[in-house]
Parts: sequence; C-alpha cells; structure tokens
Amino acid sequence: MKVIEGLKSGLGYTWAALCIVIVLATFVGFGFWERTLAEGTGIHVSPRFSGGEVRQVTEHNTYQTRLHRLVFDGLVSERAAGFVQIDWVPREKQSLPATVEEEFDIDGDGSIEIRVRVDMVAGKAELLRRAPWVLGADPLITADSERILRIQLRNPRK
Amino acid sequence: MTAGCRSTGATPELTKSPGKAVLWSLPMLALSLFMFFGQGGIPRDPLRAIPLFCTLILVNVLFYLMIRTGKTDRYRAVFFITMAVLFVISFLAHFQEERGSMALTAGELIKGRTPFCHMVIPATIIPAALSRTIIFPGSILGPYSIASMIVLWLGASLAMGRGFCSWGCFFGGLEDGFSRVRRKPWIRKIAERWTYLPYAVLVVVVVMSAVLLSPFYCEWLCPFKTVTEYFEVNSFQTMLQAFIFVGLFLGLVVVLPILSRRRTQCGLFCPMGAFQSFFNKVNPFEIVIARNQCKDCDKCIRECPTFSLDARSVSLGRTRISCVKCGKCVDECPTGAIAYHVKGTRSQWKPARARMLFIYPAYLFLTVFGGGMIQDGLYRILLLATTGSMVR
Repeated sequence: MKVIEGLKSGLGYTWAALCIVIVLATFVGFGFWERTLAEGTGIHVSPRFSGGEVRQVTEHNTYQTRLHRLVFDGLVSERAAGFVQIDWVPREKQSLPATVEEEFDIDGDGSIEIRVRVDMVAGKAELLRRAPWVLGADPLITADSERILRIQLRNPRK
Repeated sequence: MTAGCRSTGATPELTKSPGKAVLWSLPMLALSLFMFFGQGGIPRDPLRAIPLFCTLILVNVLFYLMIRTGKTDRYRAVFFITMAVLFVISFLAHFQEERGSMALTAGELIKGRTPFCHMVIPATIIPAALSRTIIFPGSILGPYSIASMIVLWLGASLAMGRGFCSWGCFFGGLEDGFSRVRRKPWIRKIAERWTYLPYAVLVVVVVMSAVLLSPFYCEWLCPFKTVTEYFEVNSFQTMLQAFIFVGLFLGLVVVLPILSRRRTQCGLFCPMGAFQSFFNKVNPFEIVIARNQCKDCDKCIRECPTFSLDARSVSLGRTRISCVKCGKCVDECPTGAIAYHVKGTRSQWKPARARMLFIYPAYLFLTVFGGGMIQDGLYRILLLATTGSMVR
C-alpha cells in the first residue's frame, strides 16, 4: 500500500510541476504553437464570414473586381440558402470610380445570372436578377477603401 | 484515503520568515524579468518604460505578499481586478485608434478584424470538428487571433483547469471587483438550482451556434460587449442586441455582484465557465477541506464567489466541479481547514507545497497574460495625462 501511495504522490507532484513547464512553454513557444495549431488542424474562418475563396478576378484600369465562390456551406451538407460575395478593390494609390456596372456568371456555367450597378459615392447597389435562384442584394459594405456586396441566393441544387 | 478523514494542516508555515518569502519570490522575479524584457528590452519611450516598470513592481510585490502572508485570494484579486479594468481601457483605446470607434461594422466583420476571445471557444467546437471552420469573423493568425487565443486557453486550462476563470479571464476581474464593493451582502441566499444555469446556457449556446453557424453567445448574450465592442446600432436587431448586452452587464456583472458579493456572471450564467469546469478533471490541483478541522461554520459557503461550496460538498471534504481555485475559502477559513491539494498525494502532507505548486503556474500565467494588458492600460492613462488623448 505504501509503495502505491508513494507512487501516486510522486506522479501527482510530477504532474503539478509539469504545469509550470506548460505555462512557460505556452508563452515561450507561443508563435510556434499558434502556427502548429493553424497548420496542423487546417482550420480556417467559416466562409459565411470570410465570403469564401475568390473564384475570379477581373482587372480594370483603377480597380479589381473579385468574385467569390458560392457559399452554401452548412455543418454537414449544403444549405438551402446562401450568398455570393463581390469585392471592388482599388489599385494602390487609386480610387474606385463613382459608378460601376458589371455582369457576373456567379456559378461558372457560362451564362450571366446577375447584373450589378454600384454607386460608390452614395454607397448603394442595384441588382438585376437573371436567374430565379438569385434572391436580392444586401446593403453595400464599405471596408477601408473597398466596397463589398453580398447577394443572397437560394441553392439551386436543393 | 477517504475524503472524510482528510486533514490539511493550518495556514502554510513555510514563509513566516521574510527571508524565506524573498527566496520563494525570486524565481517569479526572474521569470517575470525574462518574460517582460526577453523580447524587446527596455523601451526608449518613457511612456512605455514607466508602465513596464510599474507592472513589474506590482507583479512582484503582490507575489511576495502572497508568499509572505499565506493569503492567496487577497493579492490575486488586486492583480485580477487591475487587469480587467486596464484591459478595458487598453482594448477600447486600441480600437479607437484602429477603427475610430468601439462599434463593430459590417466591413470589420467581413475583413476578419474582430478580436477572438475565449468565451467563443465552446461554440466553435462542433463546427470546427465537422467542417474545420471557425464560426467567427476573426483571423486565424496574428494579434487577437483565433489560434493565439486557443493556444493561451489550452495552456491555462491544462495548468489550472477552471482556475483560468480567476487567474486568466480578463473579464472576470470586473465582477470580482464589484462583488467586493459591499462588506455584507444584501442578497444572502441564491437557490442552488440557479447554479446549474451555466450548463444549460452552455448547451443552448453550443447547439444554437452549430445550427446557425454563427457565435450565438457573442451575437446575443455576451454582457462584456458593453465594455469592449458592440455591433454598430443601425437596425432593430442591433438595437435589441445592444439592449440585451447592457442589461446583462448591469444585472450580472454590476448589480448582482454588488448585492450578493458573488461573481454572478461566472457562477450563474457564463457558458465558458461551465465548459471550463470540466477541465478541473484533467488538472492536478483541487481544494480540499479537512473534516477533522472543520467547525461547520459555513463561512466558506457564504464567501465562495462562484457557488462552488455547499453543505454537501463541505461534508464530502471537497468543492463542486465549478471551483475557480481563487483561494478565497482558503484565506477565509477560520480554522485553516481548507487548502490547495495536489491530486494523488496524501492530503495532510505539505499543504504549503501544494499551494506553491499551484500558485506558481497560475500567477506566472496571470503575470505574462495580464502584464501586457496592465502595461498598455497604464500607457493609455499616461498618454491621456500627457497628451489629452488615449489614442496615439
């Protein structure tokens, strides 16, 4: 019994002493642990927040138009509703034009599904729908010098 | 050994001599010097150097007093409350500087510039496990990032279990402070069933977050949005959210702690606290009560800030799973029957050693994690005093 008690005590104190090592290692190796966690698990920010990967970039004189992929991501399968995000990004030391009017093939099937007219000064966007599963546009978002538009969609596969 | 015959001995004898207390404090001094000066050295800007030295002195004086007097909670609370207050100052000044406002705009959300805090962690687990995505509008790497907060939280949880709630959480100090405003409580009795509410909130938050794929607690229930950042009020929904945040803050973090002298947000609502309780099971430290020394005065039950002691747990010689290891019961026990304990060791053996083994990692975490917040908070106050603005 005494041997087992001694062993338990020894293990308990070792475990307790390791806690100091854990705290030191947390801070000393902070950058390493942070990168290891991110790379090892492959976690990324949900596309519902980030907008998803950029699928197509169109270059213009003073700005870029970035079309993101369709986001219908759910917990285990696609959801019935989603969105697509479009960013207008000025080139370095340039600004966005007062108005922009563009057409997009948002699902990559070769046909145009939406036409968007954006008034950058007033911060308003008009949407012309050419597909029944395009529901409508959210208010135009300003982030730094960019303008971002999310268009709500119904999942055509659902 | 059964819990009923546990004996812890009285208040630690180890540091009755000032010399020994200094000796026991020296490693913390060395570690804090290493942590504070190890990377950048002494800042040339006096507005940065003064807070650094003030923090260093504060940290080490409090630790020395903790060792010298054998009182844990008394000095922990000073640090913890200071950290919380200066965290708020530092955080608000930082975002005023970055964004020009406390308000979180749609643009900031999409750009992933929302700081990730530990309160979100339980809500992110199911989506992260199933889809490897974090349902939070932050960034994975960098300052205030998702990975950085998870690393800090994991380290703290392994080292302290739910001790994180009283030695690491930068919000906890606010209600800890308010709970110490009055000497005697107006609300003396809170029914035990309310202490299970955090677990119910945890289940609701985890399920709703998985269903909605958004951090439900942050969007609807976080009282601390009131003193950190809030959604830009531009619709009925954001107005309702702001109303809920302010209501919960005033109720759970200010009024109830003042009236009850308890940490009511931590003990009666916080889902992160409920989640953190389970980490007490994978942690070597616990609080034990020596039944043969206990006079059943119930002082510990009345004083426990997180409702972690009741008649049943005292009769069993241990705390409930929600114990935050703040040490208040240890400090307050008139017979010295309550002590820190290392699991697996004999309870009556070396309580001072067990306490020291706990407070070293706990205080070191608090020093490094909270030290930066205290420094920046002091810097902002100095900036305000010298330039008239907290923003550079």
